[in-house]
Amino acid sequence: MRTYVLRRLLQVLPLLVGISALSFLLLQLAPGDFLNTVAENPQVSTQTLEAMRHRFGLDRPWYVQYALYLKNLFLHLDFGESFSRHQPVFTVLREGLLNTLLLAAAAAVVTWGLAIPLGVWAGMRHNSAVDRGLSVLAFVWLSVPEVLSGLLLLMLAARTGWFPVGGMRSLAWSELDAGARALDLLRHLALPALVAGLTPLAGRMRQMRGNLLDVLQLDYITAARAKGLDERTVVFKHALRNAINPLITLFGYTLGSLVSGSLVAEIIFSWPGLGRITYEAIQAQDQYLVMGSVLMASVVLVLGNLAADLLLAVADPRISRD
Amino acid sequence: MNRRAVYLTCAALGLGLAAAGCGGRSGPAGAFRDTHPLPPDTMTFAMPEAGRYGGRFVLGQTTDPKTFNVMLANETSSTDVDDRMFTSLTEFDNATQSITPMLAKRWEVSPDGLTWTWHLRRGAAFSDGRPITSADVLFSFEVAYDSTLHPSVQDLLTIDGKRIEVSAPDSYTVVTRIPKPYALVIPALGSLRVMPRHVLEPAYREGRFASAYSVSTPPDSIVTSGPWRVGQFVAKEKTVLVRNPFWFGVDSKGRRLPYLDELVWVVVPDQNTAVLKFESGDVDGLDNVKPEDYKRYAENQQKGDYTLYDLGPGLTSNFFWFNLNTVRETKRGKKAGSPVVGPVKYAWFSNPDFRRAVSMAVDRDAIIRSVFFGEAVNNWSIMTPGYKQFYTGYVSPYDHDPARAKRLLAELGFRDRDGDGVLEDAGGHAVSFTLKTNSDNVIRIAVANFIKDDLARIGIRCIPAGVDFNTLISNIREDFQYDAVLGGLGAAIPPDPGMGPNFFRSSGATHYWHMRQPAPGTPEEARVDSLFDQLVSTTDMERRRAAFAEIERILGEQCWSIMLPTIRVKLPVRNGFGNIQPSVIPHRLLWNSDRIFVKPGARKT
Amino acid sequence: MTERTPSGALPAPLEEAGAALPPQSPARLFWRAFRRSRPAVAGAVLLAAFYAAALLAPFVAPYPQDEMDRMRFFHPPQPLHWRDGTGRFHLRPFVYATVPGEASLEYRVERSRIVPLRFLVRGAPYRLLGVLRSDRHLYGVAPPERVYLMGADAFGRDELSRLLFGAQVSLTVGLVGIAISFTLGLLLGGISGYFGGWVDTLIMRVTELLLSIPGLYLIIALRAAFPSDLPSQQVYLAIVAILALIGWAALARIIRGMVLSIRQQDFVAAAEALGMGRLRIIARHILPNTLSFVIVAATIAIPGYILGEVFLSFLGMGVQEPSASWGNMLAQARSLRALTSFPWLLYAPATAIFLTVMAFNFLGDGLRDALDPRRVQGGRAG
Repeated sequence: MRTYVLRRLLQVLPLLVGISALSFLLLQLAPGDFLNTVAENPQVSTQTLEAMRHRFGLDRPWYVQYALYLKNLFLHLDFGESFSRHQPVFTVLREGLLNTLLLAAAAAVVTWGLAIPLGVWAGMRHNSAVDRGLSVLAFVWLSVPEVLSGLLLLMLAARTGWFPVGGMRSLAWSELDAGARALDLLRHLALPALVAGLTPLAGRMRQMRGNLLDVLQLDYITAARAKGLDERTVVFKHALRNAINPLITLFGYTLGSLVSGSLVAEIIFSWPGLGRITYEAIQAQDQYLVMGSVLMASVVLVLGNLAADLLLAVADPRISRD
Repeated sequence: MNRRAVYLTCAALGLGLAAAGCGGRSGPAGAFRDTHPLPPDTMTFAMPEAGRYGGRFVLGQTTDPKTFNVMLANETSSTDVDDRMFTSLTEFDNATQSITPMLAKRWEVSPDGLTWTWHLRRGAAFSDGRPITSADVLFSFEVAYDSTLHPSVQDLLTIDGKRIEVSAPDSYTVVTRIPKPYALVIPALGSLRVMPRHVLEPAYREGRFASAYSVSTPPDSIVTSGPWRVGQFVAKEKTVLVRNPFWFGVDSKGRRLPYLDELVWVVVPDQNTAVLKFESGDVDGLDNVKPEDYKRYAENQQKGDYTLYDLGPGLTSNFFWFNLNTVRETKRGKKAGSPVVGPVKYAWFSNPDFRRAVSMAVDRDAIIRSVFFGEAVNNWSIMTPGYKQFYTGYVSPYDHDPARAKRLLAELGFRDRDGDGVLEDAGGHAVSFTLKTNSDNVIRIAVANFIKDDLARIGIRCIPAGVDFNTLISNIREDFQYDAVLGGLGAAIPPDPGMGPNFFRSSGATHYWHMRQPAPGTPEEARVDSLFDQLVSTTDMERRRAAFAEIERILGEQCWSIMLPTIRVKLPVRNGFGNIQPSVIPHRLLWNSDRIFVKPGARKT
Repeated sequence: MTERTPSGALPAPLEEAGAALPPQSPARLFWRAFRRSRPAVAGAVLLAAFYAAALLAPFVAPYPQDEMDRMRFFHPPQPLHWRDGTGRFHLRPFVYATVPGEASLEYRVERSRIVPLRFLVRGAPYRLLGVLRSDRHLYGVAPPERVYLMGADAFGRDELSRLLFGAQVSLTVGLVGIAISFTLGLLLGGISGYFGGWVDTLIMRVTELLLSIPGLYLIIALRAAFPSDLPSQQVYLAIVAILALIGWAALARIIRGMVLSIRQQDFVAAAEALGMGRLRIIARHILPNTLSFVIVAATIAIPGYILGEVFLSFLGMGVQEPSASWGNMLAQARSLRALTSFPWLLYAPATAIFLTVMAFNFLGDGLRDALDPRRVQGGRAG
């Protein structure tokens, strides 16, 4: 087991190099560069633009830029500088990372905290009113895009005043005590977490239900029933373990997306997360900021995959490690 | 200091108690006491009424400032904030639309109009108490002219390719000498913000200026010359400016400005969220509102306790143009000097009658009714009706007249030879072109759609193409890979056509339809070039207006840019604030930020 | 070994004797099981109707998708009536004519003017499926009146017509997407999980590489690469195809995990011992056991593709005007002004998407129930 983990971790490095190369190439594919937005100002002359281009190192050929980037990254752990903010990339990303993780964790709680119990419930009551009702609800949520549900929830918040209209903290947050701060954060977190979490919820719930229904058909379940065990024990002690298996690995694989953040929720609810930072960086072609964000997401993705693979081996002892 | 703590605690308690989600607005007023002596040369601002201390004003913006270094800031999200923190020799009063003294209390011009002597206010100080002297002004000029940093303000301070000579005979006098008569000396110098030499010179000499005053610099280290300084910055969430205790502006009663304790920007990326946030009281004013929301704002003024100010037509002009650019260097089979769009399309685009026909095809009234919900006016010039000084009332002869457009095209030899509804030229090529615009601008996409339909009615196939913004800019400026583009021009401060040489001159970098020409390509463009020279080289307003009127007429006749309606600007601002004077000229709400105050008995949401 | 019927009862003695009834082919068994689930059949019928309508959109829709009416911006829906104001019953359904109201963008119904619906009317010419020329439309009204059963948008275009034309893109997108990504995902995930070793490592690292690519940036770069006069629906489909070529990575990982456990089962060892080809084992024995999961995943993925376009339209990168798609129709409805003043802009695409999602899911459920090998044969795999 240990050698396996070690080997996987060693593979991370070439992977990151590959990812950075691919992303850098993609950035070069799109025409223009960061200075386009500056160039739009009719008061700015060509000479100014050329000087800026030189200052940002954008007048060099792309392979030179990339080589320099790799050198800085691996020798100095320097992620480069953000053109638009004149700050080191790492500083910019660090601030958004915590906010994104908070939202992602809350959304994950909403998704998995509801998907598993509701899916099991629907599966246990196959074809009953509960099952059909939950199914229809799932369809409704599956068909409502985040961009719409976000707006509708915001309108609700504005009308009722139960929740704040977007943002992460109230204006006077720094003057509140710890308890009030936590409450304030929760109130701001509620709606965006709901929007970001309910969207995948429908899918996960149906998968849980589907998996449970499959497992309930198996022989050993019939045997358990024949033994006289009540349905509850059958489901929770015997069936659930197998049914939940693919979902655990799924959870591990979605860890990677935790860091990229939910762009829609962040835009609509003004949540200051990595999603928006990355998107604005992409639009502005602030290339080192984009690269930094991509690399950060990749690291989490790779680690998440590793965790999921290990979880899989633990959950299903039949899987042998080579 | 004690008082401030008391005030803040009261505010915090008040906000904590308002748990229904209102953003708190203002604490008890009158808590501020000016503890520093006033300088000898204060600047007394004219204002509708004298106010009182205390409170805050909250504004929404779509994205947060990227830097506090006003010299290097290029985007409005930064300049909106940074311009409030740094002063300059002169300033523009949006209400009277004239230049006012600022750091310079008075100035004289030599008879030949080339030497200007500026007398600075004695006792003006930075936010750390150190005096502002001519050395700081010289330092700011030096940074502005730096060839490595190349701040964009350098272009405004370069006249005919030459720099302004600056010298300081004493601590409170600055002498500038310009190479040739220039009409916009004062606005040009007014765009130079004064930065503290004692703080930034070491950084500048060591080559660290670009990262000085970044958003991660501790707020107390950011020494400013204007009414405000940085109080707090939370990335992507909010920016809080607090008063500069040494600001030299005073009101009619001799009390030091600013009145407000805080000026706050809250980041709200989504337009719809901004509307809801304003309605719920979290935000006190919005300076960028879509016409589709005007109705909602107008209807809820009573309920929401705010006023929707109708400012009339704005300063932004919308237009589309055809690509007349030529290839720079021979490559990929295209000879240098040949048109980028190729000979067939160039034959159409370069013919003024073709452009006039296209202009006559556009049903601007439908665009106003649908895209702008009626909240726009026809506009025929870069100087929209919002430009009070230069608006001439010129109306183009090429307004909506599809019948005449068809006749004109027929005269040019275009005929529908194969009956498919699309005209062909004499060579048999179907008249078809793509109209690019930025895909994330819903309004422009809609306008492009209308243009397509309008042109189809006269037999021209126009294909709207939404393109990502940066790609579009590359197309416009570098590779010229487009047929036609739908774009626009924003406002300049001051609102003077002389501030846009790059658009009007044929050698300019934003002379969109044919950029950066070594020599004017058409006699009309040559005429515009020489008229523009007149426009910027004389200070006689009548002659300037005449020169511009002629430029406008030529542009209208040639239809290089086919003009489209301009939006009427309406801005919602919460009631209960004094000296709110919204203007179409940026900054629309905060140009007089130090004079805004909270009225007594203002409603708490 | 006695075979139990799905309900668990013992078979009748006659059938056990193996006398008169012919053996049922798997296809027949599948059909019978499928038909038993009424929601599944309903879903299938609904989808067939939608796809047919999309295919025949130029005929079914009264107007072309980009035909503007400058006198009817934001016109509200016109309900069909059979009984007029006087109480008289009309055989032919009709709508009331409207005139512009006092305020701009408002309309007043004129109950005195009855506009009957006509069928198989002459309208704008079109080519059906690219070959058949015609100018007949399923329904319409005599010009200069117009019929907007679902209202009109900001350009005075008929929402129902745009819905039908938009279905062409939106309904295809899901199928194209899963055809490519699921095929690749199943194959590569199966191979990876079955063979293990360096094959597994290689494939899994490639998936990690692909999953790390910032999708949004890829889309921007791709859109810049396509020539701008290509119809935007085609561009969008091409982009979806490219995204699916990358999107197989996510499914492959999960399939691999499932294959890893299935691989350990006896029947696989048996097949290997019998000398069956490796790929055959994967394709015919292992992967079918993932079928249940895959079907559910597909019924979730298809609406995912449709809604993905809504997200892209929100950012301005979806199917462009004037082409219609459910995504960009929904994006237009997505503003405070639209929701409060013109809610019909939302109803049309939202209902269509909801019904499609429901139909796909019910169909998926029915397919799962009918196809699942464990179900049909009472619990044994293979």
